[in-house]
Amino acid sequence: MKKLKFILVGIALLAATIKTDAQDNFFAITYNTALTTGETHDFISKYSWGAMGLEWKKMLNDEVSVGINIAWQIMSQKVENDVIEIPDLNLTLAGTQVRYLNYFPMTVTGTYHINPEGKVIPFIGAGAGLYRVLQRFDISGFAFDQNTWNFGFYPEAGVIFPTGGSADFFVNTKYHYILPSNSGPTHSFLNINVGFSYFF
Amino acid sequence: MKLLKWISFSMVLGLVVSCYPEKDRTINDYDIIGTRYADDVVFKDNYQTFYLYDSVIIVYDSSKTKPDYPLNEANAILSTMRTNLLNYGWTELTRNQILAGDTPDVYIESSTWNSTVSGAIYYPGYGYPGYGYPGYGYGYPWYGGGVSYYSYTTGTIVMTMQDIKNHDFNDDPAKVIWNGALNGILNSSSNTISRIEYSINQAFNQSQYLNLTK
Repeated sequence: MKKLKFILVGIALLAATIKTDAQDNFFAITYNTALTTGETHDFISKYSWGAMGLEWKKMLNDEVSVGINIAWQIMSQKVENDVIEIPDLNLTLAGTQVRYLNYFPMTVTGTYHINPEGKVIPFIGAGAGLYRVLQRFDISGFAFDQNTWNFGFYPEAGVIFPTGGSADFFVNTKYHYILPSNSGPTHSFLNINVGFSYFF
Repeated sequence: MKLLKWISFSMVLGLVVSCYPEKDRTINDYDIIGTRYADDVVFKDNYQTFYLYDSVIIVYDSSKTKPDYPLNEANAILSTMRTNLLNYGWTELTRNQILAGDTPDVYIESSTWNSTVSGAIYYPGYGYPGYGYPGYGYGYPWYGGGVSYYSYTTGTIVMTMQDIKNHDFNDDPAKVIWNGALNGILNSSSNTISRIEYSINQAFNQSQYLNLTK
Protein backbone atom coordinates (compact mmCIF):
# COMPACT_ATOMS: atom_id res chain seq x y z
CA MET A 1 0.00 0.00 0.00
CA LYS A 2 2.85 2.30 0.90
CA LYS A 3 4.47 1.50 -2.44
CA LEU A 4 1.25 2.32 -4.26
CA LYS A 5 1.08 5.69 -2.50
CA PHE A 6 4.63 6.40 -3.59
CA ILE A 7 3.75 5.60 -7.17
CA LEU A 8 0.61 7.75 -7.09
CA VAL A 9 2.48 10.67 -5.59
CA GLY A 10 5.19 10.21 -8.18
CA ILE A 11 2.67 10.23 -11.02
CA ALA A 12 0.97 13.32 -9.58
CA LEU A 13 4.28 15.15 -9.34
CA LEU A 14 5.19 14.14 -12.87
CA ALA A 15 1.82 15.34 -14.15
CA ALA A 16 2.26 18.63 -12.32
CA THR A 17 5.68 19.04 -13.86
CA ILE A 18 4.36 18.38 -17.33
CA LYS A 19 1.55 20.88 -16.84
CA THR A 20 3.66 23.67 -15.40
CA ASP A 21 6.65 23.25 -17.71
CA ALA A 22 4.96 23.84 -21.05
CA GLN A 23 7.18 23.29 -24.13
CA ASP A 24 9.60 21.32 -22.00
CA ASN A 25 8.35 18.00 -23.23
CA PHE A 26 8.90 16.34 -26.53
CA PHE A 27 6.79 13.58 -28.03
CA ALA A 28 7.30 11.68 -31.27
CA ILE A 29 5.51 8.89 -33.06
CA THR A 30 7.44 7.18 -35.81
CA TYR A 31 6.96 4.65 -38.53
CA ASN A 32 9.96 2.37 -38.20
CA THR A 33 11.77 0.41 -40.87
CA ALA A 34 14.87 -1.69 -40.38
CA LEU A 35 17.80 -3.28 -42.14
CA THR A 36 19.14 -6.35 -40.37
CA THR A 37 22.85 -6.87 -39.85
CA GLY A 38 25.15 -9.58 -38.53
CA GLU A 39 23.58 -12.76 -37.20
CA THR A 40 20.14 -11.20 -37.50
CA HIS A 41 20.78 -10.73 -41.21
CA ASP A 42 21.74 -14.41 -41.46
CA PHE A 43 18.32 -15.29 -40.09
CA ILE A 44 16.27 -12.65 -41.93
CA SER A 45 17.80 -10.65 -44.76
CA LYS A 46 14.55 -9.09 -45.94
CA TYR A 47 14.07 -5.40 -45.20
CA SER A 48 11.55 -4.75 -42.44
CA TRP A 49 8.77 -2.29 -43.21
CA GLY A 50 7.14 -2.35 -39.78
CA ALA A 51 6.37 -1.19 -37.27
CA MET A 52 6.40 1.87 -34.96
CA GLY A 53 7.94 3.77 -32.10
CA LEU A 54 6.82 6.17 -29.40
CA GLU A 55 9.22 8.57 -27.77
CA TRP A 56 8.85 10.98 -24.90
CA LYS A 57 11.63 13.28 -23.74
CA LYS A 58 12.00 15.79 -20.96
CA MET A 59 13.98 18.82 -22.09
CA LEU A 60 16.55 19.62 -19.43
CA ASN A 61 17.55 22.73 -21.36
CA ASP A 62 17.44 23.85 -24.99
CA GLU A 63 19.96 21.25 -26.09
CA VAL A 64 19.71 18.27 -23.79
CA SER A 65 16.85 15.93 -23.08
CA VAL A 66 16.32 12.60 -21.37
CA GLY A 67 13.41 10.33 -21.97
CA ILE A 68 12.02 6.93 -22.73
CA ASN A 69 11.38 5.11 -25.94
CA ILE A 70 9.25 2.09 -26.71
CA ALA A 71 9.06 0.53 -30.12
CA TRP A 72 8.03 -2.53 -32.03
CA GLN A 73 9.95 -3.93 -34.97
CA ILE A 74 8.58 -6.84 -36.97
CA MET A 75 10.71 -8.88 -39.32
CA SER A 76 9.77 -11.90 -41.32
CA GLN A 77 10.95 -13.85 -44.30
CA LYS A 78 9.68 -16.82 -46.20
CA VAL A 79 12.31 -19.18 -47.58
CA GLU A 80 10.89 -21.78 -49.91
CA ASN A 81 12.19 -25.33 -50.03
CA ASP A 82 15.23 -24.82 -47.90
CA VAL A 83 17.22 -27.52 -46.16
CA ILE A 84 18.51 -27.63 -42.61
CA GLU A 85 20.93 -30.17 -41.20
CA ILE A 86 20.90 -31.41 -37.63
CA PRO A 87 24.19 -33.31 -37.47
CA ASP A 88 23.75 -34.61 -33.93
CA LEU A 89 20.71 -36.57 -35.07
CA ASN A 90 21.97 -37.44 -38.58
CA LEU A 91 18.83 -35.62 -39.62
CA THR A 92 18.07 -33.43 -42.61
CA LEU A 93 14.82 -31.52 -43.00
CA ALA A 94 13.55 -29.80 -46.11
CA GLY A 95 10.55 -27.57 -46.40
CA THR A 96 9.34 -24.03 -46.62
CA GLN A 97 10.59 -21.94 -43.75
CA VAL A 98 8.98 -18.84 -42.37
CA ARG A 99 11.17 -16.92 -40.00
CA TYR A 100 9.99 -14.22 -37.64
CA LEU A 101 11.56 -11.73 -35.31
CA ASN A 102 9.71 -9.29 -33.13
CA TYR A 103 11.63 -6.72 -31.13
CA PHE A 104 10.17 -4.60 -28.37
CA PRO A 105 12.85 -2.14 -27.21
CA MET A 106 12.11 -0.34 -23.96
CA THR A 107 14.91 2.10 -23.43
CA VAL A 108 15.92 5.21 -21.60
CA THR A 109 17.39 7.83 -23.86
CA GLY A 110 19.60 10.86 -23.82
CA THR A 111 19.65 13.38 -26.66
CA TYR A 112 21.68 16.41 -27.59
CA HIS A 113 19.97 18.85 -29.97
CA ILE A 114 22.33 20.80 -32.20
CA ASN A 115 21.21 24.28 -33.13
CA PRO A 116 17.81 24.02 -31.38
CA GLU A 117 16.60 27.36 -32.75
CA GLY A 118 17.51 26.58 -36.36
CA LYS A 119 15.31 25.84 -39.37
CA VAL A 120 16.30 22.22 -38.99
CA ILE A 121 17.32 20.69 -35.69
CA PRO A 122 19.83 17.88 -35.96
CA PHE A 123 20.30 15.75 -32.90
CA ILE A 124 22.41 12.87 -31.68
CA GLY A 125 21.69 10.55 -28.84
CA ALA A 126 21.79 7.11 -27.39
CA GLY A 127 19.48 4.69 -25.68
CA ALA A 128 19.86 1.59 -23.57
CA GLY A 129 17.50 -0.79 -21.88
CA LEU A 130 15.55 -3.97 -22.11
CA TYR A 131 14.55 -5.66 -25.33
CA ARG A 132 11.89 -8.30 -25.55
CA VAL A 133 12.91 -10.54 -28.44
CA LEU A 134 10.46 -13.06 -29.90
CA GLN A 135 12.05 -15.35 -32.44
CA ARG A 136 10.20 -18.03 -34.35
CA PHE A 137 11.48 -20.56 -36.83
CA ASP A 138 8.70 -22.33 -38.69
CA ILE A 139 9.35 -25.13 -41.12
CA SER A 140 6.30 -26.47 -42.92
CA GLY A 141 4.03 -25.47 -40.06
CA PHE A 142 6.23 -26.88 -37.29
CA ALA A 143 7.25 -23.89 -35.20
CA PHE A 144 10.11 -23.45 -32.78
CA ASP A 145 10.16 -20.40 -30.53
CA GLN A 146 12.91 -18.67 -28.64
CA ASN A 147 11.59 -15.77 -26.60
CA THR A 148 14.06 -13.85 -24.48
CA TRP A 149 14.65 -10.68 -22.52
CA ASN A 150 17.88 -9.05 -23.61
CA PHE A 151 19.88 -5.98 -22.81
CA GLY A 152 20.63 -3.69 -25.70
CA PHE A 153 21.65 -0.22 -26.64
CA TYR A 154 21.86 2.06 -29.64
CA PRO A 155 23.42 5.26 -30.89
CA GLU A 156 21.00 7.56 -32.64
CA ALA A 157 21.07 10.48 -35.04
CA GLY A 158 18.21 12.42 -36.54
CA VAL A 159 16.74 15.68 -37.66
CA ILE A 160 13.64 17.58 -36.65
CA PHE A 161 12.08 19.74 -39.35
CA PRO A 162 10.01 22.43 -37.67
CA THR A 163 6.89 23.24 -39.66
CA GLY A 164 5.69 26.24 -37.71
CA GLY A 165 2.56 24.31 -36.79
CA SER A 166 1.91 22.15 -33.79
CA ALA A 167 3.62 19.08 -35.25
CA ASP A 168 7.07 18.85 -36.79
CA PHE A 169 8.51 16.31 -39.19
CA PHE A 170 10.97 13.95 -37.63
CA VAL A 171 13.47 11.45 -39.04
CA ASN A 172 16.02 9.42 -37.18
CA THR A 173 18.21 6.38 -37.44
CA LYS A 174 19.32 4.01 -34.70
CA TYR A 175 21.71 1.12 -34.71
CA HIS A 176 20.41 -1.43 -32.24
CA TYR A 177 22.90 -3.84 -30.73
CA ILE A 178 21.25 -6.46 -28.54
CA LEU A 179 23.38 -8.68 -26.38
CA PRO A 180 22.81 -12.46 -26.35
CA SER A 181 20.55 -14.07 -23.80
CA ASN A 182 20.13 -17.75 -22.93
CA SER A 183 22.91 -18.72 -25.35
CA GLY A 184 20.96 -17.11 -28.16
CA PRO A 185 22.45 -15.00 -30.91
CA THR A 186 23.50 -11.37 -30.86
CA HIS A 187 20.86 -9.28 -32.58
CA SER A 188 21.49 -6.12 -34.51
CA PHE A 189 19.62 -3.94 -36.94
CA LEU A 190 19.62 -0.43 -38.31
CA ASN A 191 16.41 1.54 -37.88
CA ILE A 192 15.40 4.25 -40.32
CA ASN A 193 12.33 5.98 -38.99
CA VAL A 194 10.07 8.81 -40.07
CA GLY A 195 7.32 10.46 -38.12
CA PHE A 196 5.98 13.45 -36.36
CA SER A 197 7.03 15.18 -33.24
CA TYR A 198 5.90 18.06 -31.18
CA PHE A 199 6.89 20.04 -28.15
CA PHE A 200 4.34 20.66 -25.46
CA MET B 1 -3.49 18.41 -34.85
CA LYS B 2 -6.32 16.75 -36.76
CA LEU B 3 -3.84 15.88 -39.51
CA LEU B 4 -1.50 14.38 -36.95
CA LYS B 5 -4.30 12.20 -35.60
CA TRP B 6 -5.16 10.95 -39.07
CA ILE B 7 -1.55 10.22 -39.86
CA SER B 8 -1.12 8.44 -36.54
CA PHE B 9 -4.22 6.38 -37.24
CA SER B 10 -2.90 5.47 -40.71
CA MET B 11 0.40 4.40 -39.21
CA VAL B 12 -1.31 2.17 -36.67
CA LEU B 13 -3.46 0.70 -39.43
CA GLY B 14 -0.33 0.05 -41.46
CA LEU B 15 1.18 -1.62 -38.45
CA VAL B 16 -1.76 -3.99 -38.06
CA VAL B 17 -1.66 -4.92 -41.74
CA SER B 18 2.06 -5.57 -41.61
CA CYS B 19 1.66 -7.92 -38.62
CA TYR B 20 1.02 -10.77 -41.04
CA PRO B 21 3.57 -10.20 -43.76
CA GLU B 22 3.94 -13.85 -44.72
CA LYS B 23 0.42 -15.08 -44.09
CA ASP B 24 -0.16 -16.48 -47.55
CA ARG B 25 1.11 -19.98 -47.83
CA THR B 26 0.27 -22.62 -50.35
CA ILE B 27 -0.53 -26.21 -49.51
CA ASN B 28 2.93 -27.14 -50.80
CA ASP B 29 4.50 -24.86 -48.21
CA TYR B 30 3.40 -27.34 -45.54
CA ASP B 31 5.21 -30.26 -47.17
CA ILE B 32 8.14 -31.42 -45.11
CA ILE B 33 10.77 -33.97 -46.01
CA GLY B 34 12.95 -35.51 -43.34
CA THR B 35 15.74 -38.02 -43.80
CA ARG B 36 17.90 -39.75 -41.25
CA TYR B 37 20.63 -42.35 -41.35
CA ALA B 38 21.89 -44.66 -38.64
CA ASP B 39 25.06 -43.97 -36.73
CA ASP B 40 28.29 -45.49 -38.04
CA VAL B 41 26.82 -46.51 -41.37
CA VAL B 42 28.84 -45.99 -44.53
CA PHE B 43 26.85 -46.86 -47.61
CA LYS B 44 29.43 -46.63 -50.34
CA ASP B 45 31.56 -49.78 -50.76
CA ASN B 46 29.47 -51.60 -48.15
CA TYR B 47 26.18 -51.97 -49.97
CA GLN B 48 25.31 -52.54 -53.59
CA THR B 49 22.04 -54.37 -54.11
CA PHE B 50 18.52 -53.63 -52.98
CA TYR B 51 15.13 -55.27 -53.00
CA LEU B 52 12.19 -52.87 -53.20
CA TYR B 53 8.97 -54.28 -51.77
CA ASP B 54 6.51 -54.07 -54.63
CA SER B 55 3.58 -52.61 -52.68
CA VAL B 56 3.00 -49.58 -50.53
CA ILE B 57 2.00 -50.63 -47.02
CA ILE B 58 -1.12 -48.85 -45.81
CA VAL B 59 -1.17 -48.18 -42.10
CA TYR B 60 -4.69 -47.80 -40.69
CA ASP B 61 -6.85 -48.34 -37.67
CA SER B 62 -7.67 -52.05 -37.86
CA SER B 63 -11.03 -51.48 -36.19
CA LYS B 64 -12.08 -49.55 -39.28
CA THR B 65 -12.38 -50.39 -42.93
CA LYS B 66 -9.11 -50.47 -44.79
CA PRO B 67 -8.87 -47.28 -46.81
CA ASP B 68 -8.33 -47.34 -50.53
CA TYR B 69 -5.08 -45.96 -51.74
CA PRO B 70 -4.93 -44.63 -55.30
CA LEU B 71 -2.95 -47.00 -57.47
CA ASN B 72 -1.37 -44.19 -59.47
CA GLU B 73 0.01 -42.66 -56.28
CA ALA B 74 1.39 -46.00 -55.11
CA ASN B 75 3.03 -46.49 -58.50
CA ALA B 76 4.49 -42.99 -58.31
CA ILE B 77 6.00 -43.75 -54.90
CA LEU B 78 7.58 -47.02 -56.00
CA SER B 79 8.81 -45.87 -59.38
CA THR B 80 10.34 -42.67 -57.99
CA MET B 81 12.14 -44.60 -55.25
CA ARG B 82 13.41 -47.13 -57.78
CA THR B 83 14.61 -44.45 -60.20
CA ASN B 84 16.53 -42.63 -57.50
CA LEU B 85 18.23 -45.77 -56.22
CA LEU B 86 19.23 -46.83 -59.73
CA ASN B 87 20.54 -43.32 -60.45
CA TYR B 88 22.64 -43.60 -57.31
CA GLY B 89 24.32 -46.73 -58.63
CA TRP B 90 22.39 -49.35 -56.70
CA THR B 91 21.50 -52.66 -58.33
CA GLU B 92 17.98 -53.99 -57.98
CA LEU B 93 17.26 -57.62 -57.26
CA THR B 94 13.91 -58.85 -58.49
CA ARG B 95 11.50 -61.07 -56.62
CA ASN B 96 12.51 -64.04 -58.80
CA GLN B 97 16.18 -63.49 -58.00
CA ILE B 98 15.32 -63.44 -54.30
CA LEU B 99 13.31 -66.65 -54.66
CA ALA B 100 16.24 -68.18 -56.52
CA GLY B 101 18.44 -67.58 -53.50
CA ASP B 102 20.03 -64.19 -53.98
CA THR B 103 20.14 -61.99 -50.92
CA PRO B 104 19.98 -58.22 -51.29
CA ASP B 105 22.23 -55.96 -49.25
CA VAL B 106 19.27 -53.83 -48.22
CA TYR B 107 15.53 -54.17 -48.15
CA ILE B 108 13.42 -51.10 -48.83
CA GLU B 109 9.75 -50.62 -48.23
CA SER B 110 7.33 -47.73 -48.21
CA SER B 111 4.33 -47.16 -46.01
CA THR B 112 1.68 -44.50 -45.83
CA TRP B 113 -1.10 -43.23 -43.61
CA ASN B 114 -3.40 -40.27 -43.21
CA SER B 115 -4.16 -38.30 -40.07
CA THR B 116 -6.93 -35.82 -39.53
CA VAL B 117 -6.25 -32.97 -37.18
CA SER B 118 -9.02 -30.74 -35.95
CA GLY B 119 -9.53 -28.32 -33.14
CA ALA B 120 -10.05 -24.75 -32.19
CA ILE B 121 -7.67 -21.90 -31.55
CA TYR B 122 -8.59 -19.11 -29.22
CA TYR B 123 -6.90 -15.87 -30.04
CA PRO B 124 -6.93 -12.68 -28.04
CA GLY B 125 -7.50 -9.32 -29.62
CA TYR B 126 -4.71 -8.04 -31.80
CA GLY B 127 -3.29 -11.49 -32.27
CA TYR B 128 0.33 -12.30 -32.16
CA PRO B 129 2.08 -11.35 -35.38
CA GLY B 130 3.05 -13.88 -37.93
CA TYR B 131 1.65 -17.07 -36.46
CA GLY B 132 0.09 -19.07 -39.24
CA TYR B 133 -1.20 -22.55 -38.69
CA PRO B 134 -2.47 -24.82 -41.40
CA GLY B 135 -6.20 -24.59 -41.77
CA TYR B 136 -6.28 -21.47 -39.66
CA GLY B 137 -9.30 -20.30 -41.60
CA TYR B 138 -9.90 -17.29 -43.70
CA GLY B 139 -10.27 -14.75 -40.94
CA TYR B 140 -7.30 -13.23 -39.28
CA PRO B 141 -7.35 -12.39 -35.64
CA TRP B 142 -7.80 -8.68 -35.95
CA TYR B 143 -9.78 -6.66 -33.52
CA GLY B 144 -11.27 -8.26 -30.53
CA GLY B 145 -10.27 -11.89 -30.72
CA GLY B 146 -12.40 -14.99 -30.99
CA VAL B 147 -12.13 -18.63 -31.93
CA SER B 148 -11.03 -20.21 -35.19
CA TYR B 149 -11.95 -23.79 -35.97
CA TYR B 150 -9.75 -25.86 -38.20
CA SER B 151 -9.57 -29.31 -39.63
CA TYR B 152 -7.13 -30.74 -42.07
CA THR B 153 -5.80 -34.11 -43.11
CA THR B 154 -2.17 -34.86 -43.56
CA GLY B 155 -0.66 -37.67 -45.53
CA THR B 156 2.59 -39.30 -44.56
CA ILE B 157 4.87 -41.55 -46.57
CA VAL B 158 7.77 -43.28 -44.90
CA MET B 159 10.57 -45.03 -46.75
CA THR B 160 12.58 -47.48 -44.71
CA MET B 161 15.87 -49.09 -45.66
CA GLN B 162 17.01 -52.11 -43.62
CA ASP B 163 20.40 -53.78 -43.53
CA ILE B 164 20.06 -57.37 -44.74
CA LYS B 165 23.73 -57.87 -45.54
CA ASN B 166 24.77 -57.73 -41.89
CA HIS B 167 21.63 -59.28 -40.47
CA ASP B 168 22.10 -62.56 -38.62
CA PHE B 169 18.54 -63.73 -39.35
CA ASN B 170 17.60 -64.29 -35.74
CA ASP B 171 14.24 -63.08 -34.47
CA ASP B 172 15.34 -59.46 -34.28
CA PRO B 173 14.25 -57.20 -37.11
CA ALA B 174 16.95 -56.04 -39.46
CA LYS B 175 18.57 -52.77 -38.52
CA VAL B 176 17.06 -49.69 -40.10
CA ILE B 177 19.89 -47.75 -41.69
CA TRP B 178 17.95 -45.04 -43.50
CA ASN B 179 14.55 -43.41 -43.27
CA GLY B 180 12.87 -40.89 -45.43
CA ALA B 181 9.62 -39.36 -44.21
CA LEU B 182 7.37 -37.08 -46.20
CA ASN B 183 4.42 -35.26 -44.72
CA GLY B 184 1.97 -32.81 -46.22
CA ILE B 185 -1.57 -31.58 -46.13
CA LEU B 186 -3.89 -33.50 -48.41
CA ASN B 187 -6.17 -31.68 -50.77
CA SER B 188 -8.22 -32.54 -53.78
CA SER B 189 -5.98 -30.89 -56.32
CA SER B 190 -4.48 -32.80 -59.18
CA ASN B 191 -0.87 -32.14 -58.22
CA THR B 192 -0.58 -34.92 -55.62
CA ILE B 193 1.55 -37.08 -57.90
CA SER B 194 3.98 -34.25 -58.62
CA ARG B 195 4.21 -33.44 -54.89
CA ILE B 196 4.99 -37.09 -54.15
CA GLU B 197 7.62 -37.23 -56.87
CA TYR B 198 9.17 -33.94 -55.81
CA SER B 199 9.30 -34.99 -52.15
CA ILE B 200 10.84 -38.39 -52.81
CA ASN B 201 13.39 -36.85 -55.17
CA GLN B 202 14.21 -34.28 -52.50
CA ALA B 203 14.61 -37.02 -49.88
CA PHE B 204 17.27 -38.66 -52.05
CA ASN B 205 18.84 -35.34 -53.03
CA GLN B 206 19.43 -34.50 -49.40
CA SER B 207 20.80 -38.02 -48.76
CA GLN B 208 23.88 -37.85 -50.92
CA TYR B 209 25.58 -40.44 -48.71
CA LEU B 210 23.31 -42.99 -50.46
CA ASN B 211 24.96 -42.17 -53.77
CA LEU B 212 27.31 -45.08 -54.54
CA THR B 213 28.68 -43.46 -57.68
CA LYS B 214 30.47 -40.62 -55.88
